[in-house]
This record gives sequence, C-alpha cells and structure tokens, in this order.
Amino acid sequence: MAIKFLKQDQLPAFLGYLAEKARVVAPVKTDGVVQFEPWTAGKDVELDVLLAKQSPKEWVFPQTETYLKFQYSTVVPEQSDEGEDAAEGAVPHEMIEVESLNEAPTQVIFGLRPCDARGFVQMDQVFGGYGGFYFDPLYNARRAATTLLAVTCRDPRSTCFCAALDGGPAGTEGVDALFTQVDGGFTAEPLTEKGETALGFSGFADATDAQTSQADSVKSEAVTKVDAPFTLEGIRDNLHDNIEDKGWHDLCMRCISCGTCTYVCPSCYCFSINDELVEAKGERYRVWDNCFNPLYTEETSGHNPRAQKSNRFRNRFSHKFWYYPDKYDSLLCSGCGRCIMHCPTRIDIREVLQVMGSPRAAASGEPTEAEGKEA
Amino acid sequence: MSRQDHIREFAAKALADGRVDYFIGWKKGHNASEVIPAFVKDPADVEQLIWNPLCHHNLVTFIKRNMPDPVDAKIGLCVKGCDSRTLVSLLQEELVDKEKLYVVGVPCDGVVDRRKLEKEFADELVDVAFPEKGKVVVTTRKGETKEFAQAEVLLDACSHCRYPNAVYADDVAGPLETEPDREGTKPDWSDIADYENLSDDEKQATLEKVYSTCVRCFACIHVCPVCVCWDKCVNRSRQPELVAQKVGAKENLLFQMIHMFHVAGRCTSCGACDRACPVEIPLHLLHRKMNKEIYDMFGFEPGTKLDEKPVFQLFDLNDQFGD
Amino acid sequence: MADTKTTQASGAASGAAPSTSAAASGAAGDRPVKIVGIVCNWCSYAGADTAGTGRFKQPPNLRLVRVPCTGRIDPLFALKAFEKGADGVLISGCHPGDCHYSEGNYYARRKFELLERMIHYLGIPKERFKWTWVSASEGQRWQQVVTDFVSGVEKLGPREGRAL
Repeated sequence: MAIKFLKQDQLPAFLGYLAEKARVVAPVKTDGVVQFEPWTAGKDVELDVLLAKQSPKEWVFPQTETYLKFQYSTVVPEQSDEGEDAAEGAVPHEMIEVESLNEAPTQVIFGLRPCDARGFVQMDQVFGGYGGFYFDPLYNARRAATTLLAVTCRDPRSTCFCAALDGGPAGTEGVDALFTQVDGGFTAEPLTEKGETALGFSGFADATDAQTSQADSVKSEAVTKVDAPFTLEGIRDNLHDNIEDKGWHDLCMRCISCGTCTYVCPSCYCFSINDELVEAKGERYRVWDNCFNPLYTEETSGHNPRAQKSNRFRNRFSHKFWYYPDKYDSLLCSGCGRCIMHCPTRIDIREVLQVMGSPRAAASGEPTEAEGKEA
Repeated sequence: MSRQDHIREFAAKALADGRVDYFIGWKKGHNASEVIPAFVKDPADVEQLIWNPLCHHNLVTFIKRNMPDPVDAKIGLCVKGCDSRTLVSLLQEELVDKEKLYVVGVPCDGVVDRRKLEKEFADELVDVAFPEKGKVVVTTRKGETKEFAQAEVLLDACSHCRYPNAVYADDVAGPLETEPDREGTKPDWSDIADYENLSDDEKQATLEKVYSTCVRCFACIHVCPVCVCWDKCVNRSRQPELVAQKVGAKENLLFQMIHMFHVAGRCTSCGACDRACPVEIPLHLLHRKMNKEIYDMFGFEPGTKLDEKPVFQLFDLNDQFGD
Repeated sequence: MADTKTTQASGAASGAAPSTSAAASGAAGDRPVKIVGIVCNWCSYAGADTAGTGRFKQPPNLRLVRVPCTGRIDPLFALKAFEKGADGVLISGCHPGDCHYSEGNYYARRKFELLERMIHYLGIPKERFKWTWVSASEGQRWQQVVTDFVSGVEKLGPREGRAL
C-alpha cells in the first residue's frame, strides 16, 4: 500500500471509522493534563503536547487485571441408601468454582509516539515466551488485538533521548502505521497488515510527492532535535564493573524511592499477584509492582536483599541496560524521558547512564560475589 | 548580599568546619526551567546552590528515617517557612536528632507553580527566569517567550501562607520577610470552600473521578516529610493486608485517607504531596480540610512551636467532643 | 472468552457459604443494611451483652468488631468498613473517665471527632456514622442507640455508587 494522506478535518471521521469496529484510545487533555483514554466523538485528540503523562502500556498491560474469579460453596449430597457409598458420599464437602478471564477487546491506539510503540516491543520479549520462558496469555491476547498508529514527533523535547538508543522521533519499531503532520493534515505510512487495515478509511487519499517529501523533511528535522547524551557502547560492561561503586549512593541521594518512574515508563513490566476474598467470592488479579518499593525484595524469612535505597536504585538501571539485554537481546528503555519529567526530584536516567555506564576509577570496596551476573 | 549568597556561605562554612557531612539545598535541574534538590559534600561545590522562586521542594523529607546516607550522617539543610514547620513536627515527636542537624532558614515571598506555567504552553519549557522582583519570564524550546506577574503564578499554598520565615533555624539566609499578623487573623481556608459547599453526591462524584487517576506510586507518601513508617507503612502491609493492592478509585481514596489520618496533627499542608503527584491529584482538598478541622477543634497549627506535641498524641480532660 | 472450570476441594464442610441477614430489610429495599459496630471489650461489648441477656429487642443488622479499647481504634477501621461496603459504622466505648485502661478513650474522642468531620467531608451522609459511649450496665441504652442508628441508616438504604 502506498503512503496515504489524511486531511486534518478528516481526523474525527477517521477515528469514528475505527471506532465502529474497535475501541479507540488516544491522548486527550482534561484540565490541562494529557492522558491516553478511550476516544469518543467530540473529544479533541491532543498532539501539540508531545507526551501524555503516562505511556499507553496500560491498554495492553492493565494496572490491575483480574484473571480468575472463584467461588466457594458447600455441597451437601443426598443421603445414599447404599451402605458402601454412604461413608464416602454423605459427607458435605467444599467446592470451588473457578472462572478464568481473558478480555482482549479489539482496539486501536492512535497518537502514541515511536518510543511508546517501542516500549511494547521491548515488553513483548519478556511476555512472549522467548527462549522457552513463560508465554503470558493475557498480555499477548491484548497485544494481538491492538493496532498501534503512531505520530512522528515533530517537536521532540530536551528530555528525549531515543536517539541514544538507536531509536528516533520517526522510529517504526512496533508501529503499525506512522502518521506525520504536514501542511493540511497527516501523511500515513502503513508498515504492517494491521496498519493497512486501519488505513482502509475512505477519507485517505494517495499522498502527493510534495506531501511525502514534506513528511521526510519533518522527520529529518526532528532527528536533529533529539540529543544523544551517551552511547550504548560499553554501558553493559561498565554497569557490571561499577556494581560496587559508591557513585550509586551519590546519584540517588534525591531519589525518594516511590514508583513514579516505573509507572509512567512504556516498558516497565513488573507485577505482583494477589487473591482477595469477600464472603466466599474471590478474585485473583495481577497489579503493577515497582522495584523501588522498599518491600519489593522482602522474602518470607524477613530478609530483604535490597533494603537499601541505593541497591534498588542500582537495580532499576542495571535491569534496563544490563540484565534484560543479557536475557532477551533487547533494551528495556526507549528514551521517552517520562521518568525525568515526572520524577518528583527529576532523577535523570541520562546522567545515571553517563556516570555509571562509563569506566570509573578503581571501584571502592572489596569485590563481592557478583550480584545479578545471571539475569 | 542575596539570600543565595547567604546559603552558599553558610553551607561552605558548615562543610569546611565538619559541622555537617553533607548540605542539602536546591540547584538547577536538567534545564534552566527546573530546580532540584542538591546534596553538597565539598565546600568547593557550594556554587551550585541556588535560591529562586522555583525552589519548591521540602527538603525535610531527606532527613527522615531511612533517608540519610550514611544513616548517622550530620546533615545541613535549607528550609522555607512551610518546610520548617514540618521539621518542627518531626522534632516535637523526637523522630529526628536535633544534634545531627544544621538548619538554614530561608525567608520566602512565594514559590512559583511550575505546573501553572506549563499549562500556558503546549511546547516544553526550557527557561524560567526572574529578571526582576515580581516578574517571571518563561521561554519554550521553540523560542516562545511570555512574561507573568509572579503573584499570578504562585503555588496555591502560598496565597494563604502564614509563616514566610522559618520557625526553627540555626542561621537565617538574609533579612526576614514581613510576618503576617497571626494573632489578629484567622487562617484562610477559602481554597476548599467550593468543595465544602458541594452536596454529598457531588462530593462523592468528585472524589471518585479524582481518585480514579491515582496510580498508587506512593510519591505522596514518600515525599511527605512527616510520613516516616516507610517499610512498615500500613498502606504497604501484606500481613495483614489492609489496603487492597488493586488500583481502583475506592482503594485509592482509602489509601489516601489512611495517610491523611496517620499524619493528622503533624501535617502542615506544606503541599509537597500535591507537587509530587505525577497525575496532579488535588490532595490539598483532603489535608487542608483536615488542618482546618484541627484548627477549629484545638486552635492548633501543627509544627509551629518546639515545645508542643501533635494534638493526637495528647489528650485533655477538658476536651468537649462527642456525646 | 471466559471459561468455567469446576474443581472439587476435599475436606469437611466449612462455614464459608455467604451469610444473609434473615430479618429487617432496608427501606430502599433490595437487601438489609449492613452495619459494622466497633466496640470496646470492657464497656460497650459488655453493654451489648447486657442488652442480649435482658432480651432487649434490637434490629439484627449490626455486626460487632471487638477491640480492647476505643483508643486502639485507628480511623482506618471505619474507613475500611465503608470501603468494603458497610452501609453504616457505629463506634462505642467506655464513657470518658471510665476507660478500663484509664486514658484510651481520651485519645479516642479526639480522633473520632476528626474522623466524623472528615467522613462528612467525603460525602458520606452523617446518618451513616456515629460514635458514642455505652457502659457495661447500659443495656437499655445500647438497645436505643442501635435501634435509632439502624433506622437512620435504613431510611437512606444500602450505599450504592460510592467513592469509598
């Protein structure tokens, strides 16, 4: 399919077309705050503000997801006349009915950025059963039912660093169709079958040469606006070598060990599982967890290997740039910069990687048993 | 000598004399529109410390249990008037060791609300400057510039400030700000009047809407200077589990109300929680009301006098509450 | 895409079947109101017991949670009860001056005053929350308190569509 063009005033009609067959999710500004939410006719899609507060990951990986419902009941069998069975069958016993849930509504996320889409691809690794590890049916059902229509970042922020991670403001990893704002509307490039299906709306015209060439210059100009404050080269090995370095303590002094960075990140995926029961009816759900929680690694014995904030801090960055790449051949960061923007004290991942991802003077302290050498 | 110079001078001396292991102040963030907490260990590094109307962080949160690094460090820190009250709350309960602290009070005439400025533009802010007193000049990444009167873009908390000067300090960074007449005036609670006047159903609807956006990140809990239970927090407890891990409006509101009650009498409405919340939940609706009722019940303003104790840690035989 | 499996657990019957309140149904009709009562062991729980032994008739909607002293009551108990679906919460303890532990209820009355004001501020109608003092010998008073409180909650009916 060739590159298409959509007139600006056709955007609501396009979203309406998509909404006939799918839930449409888009960034919407409410009281000055931009968040991804279900789109309905009449809502304005916010594209001037570069990033919604949170990434759209919750639409494929909900914050709270109930996946089992269960109910206890008591079965009192009828009295049996036969002497042999009477002993076995006559005793009232407990029954538990279990219902498993796996909702995967067809949906289209419009207006996300290339870094958001890349976050999904990065999470696909851990949830996707690669290397024989666990295949997550819940995540994958939703993922398969989701189409990602990204919009090129015409005006990247100073906090963006996708370029340092081999990404970019017009990146296509995970994107089903890439929209670029040009004069009068958007060019739309289908990149996958899902993308082509989405662009089936009658309001699309073939893009003219002028339009495609303008899209190209929007993209190349955007690339010049993204800083690359470090290179990936050597980061993994340096993180490994610097594991006992006191620099971790200095960098995390202003960290308050909350979970903001984790919850706004497009690729953080840790979760906890909990059962809750009220009067014999219950549910099992999973819910986002975060590695800055002081109790994240508390064991049933009471021992907590990461009781110290600096250890938890070190773990976050090491996970994203060392443990995860070792295991899955993929980074766990797409350079969106939300963690920098929303951290209450603006901890800067770029600074951390520049400092701890570089060779340091001889590490202070005794070399200890290497923590986390295996993933 | 500017307040900023005073801060740098005090910090350099305290570090050089060994009075503190590190000094906490504010410094420029990742661009000229951001200010972040600064931790200075070397007297030569005090030049990074700044003071301007973007210095909103309540630094007292960094001296709570579990935060000092090393645990027994001697710490110097800057406090505005509102911050100093939370320090006094901690000192009233002896939750921090006075002997380990060196406190520099910084008189303040108002902190600018960066979020208010952000909402004026779609583009990213890269510079917030104060070319002259009372003026704020904002510049975006694409070069758009706009000027504001400082009084119009202050934090809501600043509009009803009764303590512009620190109530506890070892040294003061420059001349004091004019004290308002606290004896002759009552605190101003008009910021919650609109909500108070809603009907029961409207209140419930507002709270449900507001708390459905909470992501239970615990930023409010962790940034709060008087919220000290940390890993033993009831909100985190799994055995027994008191607040469901599930993230929904009801659970989130319960979570926040528990926090409010557990800081009642020690919370000074410094607003650090409001500023830390990544999804901009108006937490002040709860803590301002709480402090209004506490003032109404006891005439008590938390964290103002070192020799007082938080009201819920005490009782009076003459209390007239209930039947 | 829900599928249902049934798994049988072995073992004797447990009393895990959902309980329903047999008697008084709420004015708003679909189910009886559920009230959680948090009472101190020494006065109010004993007072409720006195009401029981005296066979004083009371509505059965109240479920009691016994604590050693009202001083032990964390405001979160009342809020948790509401969050879990209670239609009303009643707290009762020893009269000030008569606390079994001398001072517990002096601390408690300060907390409950604030708790009550904040509960109203959350938009929960005042008829749904009450705190009071009932001594061990005040069986009749207990009956009155419970009857009045339950009838007040019944007039409003079960809580629906609530933020907490």
